[in-house]
Amino acid sequence: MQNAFRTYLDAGSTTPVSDADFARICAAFKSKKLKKKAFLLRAGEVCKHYALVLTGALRLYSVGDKGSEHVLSLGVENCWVGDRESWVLLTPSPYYLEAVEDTSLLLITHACMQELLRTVPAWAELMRGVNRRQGIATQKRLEAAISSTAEERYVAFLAQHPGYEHRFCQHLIASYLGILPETLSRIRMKQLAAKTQSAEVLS
Amino acid sequence: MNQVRLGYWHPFGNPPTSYRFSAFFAHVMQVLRDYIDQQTRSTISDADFALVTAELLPYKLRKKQFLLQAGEVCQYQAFVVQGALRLYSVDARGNKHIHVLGVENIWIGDRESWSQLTPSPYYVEAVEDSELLLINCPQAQKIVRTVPLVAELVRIQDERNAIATQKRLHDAISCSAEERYAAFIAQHPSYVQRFSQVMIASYLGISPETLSRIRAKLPLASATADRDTF
Repeated sequence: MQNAFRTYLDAGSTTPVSDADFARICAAFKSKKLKKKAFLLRAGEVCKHYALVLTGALRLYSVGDKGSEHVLSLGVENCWVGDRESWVLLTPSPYYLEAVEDTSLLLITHACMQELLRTVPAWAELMRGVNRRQGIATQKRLEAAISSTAEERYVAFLAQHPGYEHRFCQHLIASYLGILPETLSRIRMKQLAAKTQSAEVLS
Repeated sequence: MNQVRLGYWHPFGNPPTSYRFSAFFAHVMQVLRDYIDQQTRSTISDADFALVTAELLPYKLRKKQFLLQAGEVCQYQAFVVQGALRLYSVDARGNKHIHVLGVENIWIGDRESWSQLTPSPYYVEAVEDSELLLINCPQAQKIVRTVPLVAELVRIQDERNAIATQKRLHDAISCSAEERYAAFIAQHPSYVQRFSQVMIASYLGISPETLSRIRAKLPLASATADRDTF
């Protein structure tokens, strides 16, 4: 675990992390393992910890009035997951955070994060990068939700997250993209047909 | 790099150093200073603030002028001192999609293009006459490194942006058009007067017809409808 985390740190910061700083960073986190289908956060609770995924996969979702689930984000290795608003403001969260596979996480409270950001410059740099990338990704996802067709969204999703298709089931992906499972299935059939057709033309 | 290469109206042309003594410069910098103090709940020292002002470029846009057009690299993030802007893209069918509406004390620009120097798919256009402060990526990194209070400001802004975008995404995925409009006016009461209905509809990802139908149903919104027609 320490090794994976160290690699993650070194990749994200231009200044090398000293051993003393690394010890300080490690002390701010606690590790946690979740079995598949276990929850890190349930609606109504305060999201005490933001989590860095070491192995496994999770989904953050809300449940609508009519019982429908809306997947807000999917996270795999090296992703940060959690309800940012609840974590920062300590307000009750409207979200559930559930492990989709057996998962190993590193957890940090907002207070510990603040302390690290103040005391370890390399960590501050790393988090600025994480925030920037996350900001760009969420912005893109928002735009897709608002302005793209279901098909465009699915194509963009596959391009951006090549591995996700095999790790998350179809109805989770449909919910993540904000489309009906039936629509997603229709799009997939159409793509499959187009692929076999072009294969026939080639042969 | 510091030269404004855009050919739009600019009060200084290629600004001579003397512009740093103009009343306009003093005014926009005071607005920025108040903003930094208020956001960080602290007071920036004169020495630190001098480091900040050295990197920022005051700039004016008239209504309908562009700070950025699709295909260009977004050289600058703009801090809005006064005015209103929108950031939008145009899809293959020619439809505009508004992603950001910005008014006073908001940063606007394509962050991805700005930090990676890739061509941007967006337009940033002034919706009103606007006064801005521009900063490019190396300059921003420089003051983040040298002025701790600015690093703190960036952190606070990142946090706030992340929360706002997360909320907006959640609403886009899981709320009805009506709920989204209600949340929008609750969060940005003044936007209804400053941006046209077509722009707000595009920002919310609904058709203008749907928005007009929703507004007709809301007593609060229809009261301001007359004003919007002017």
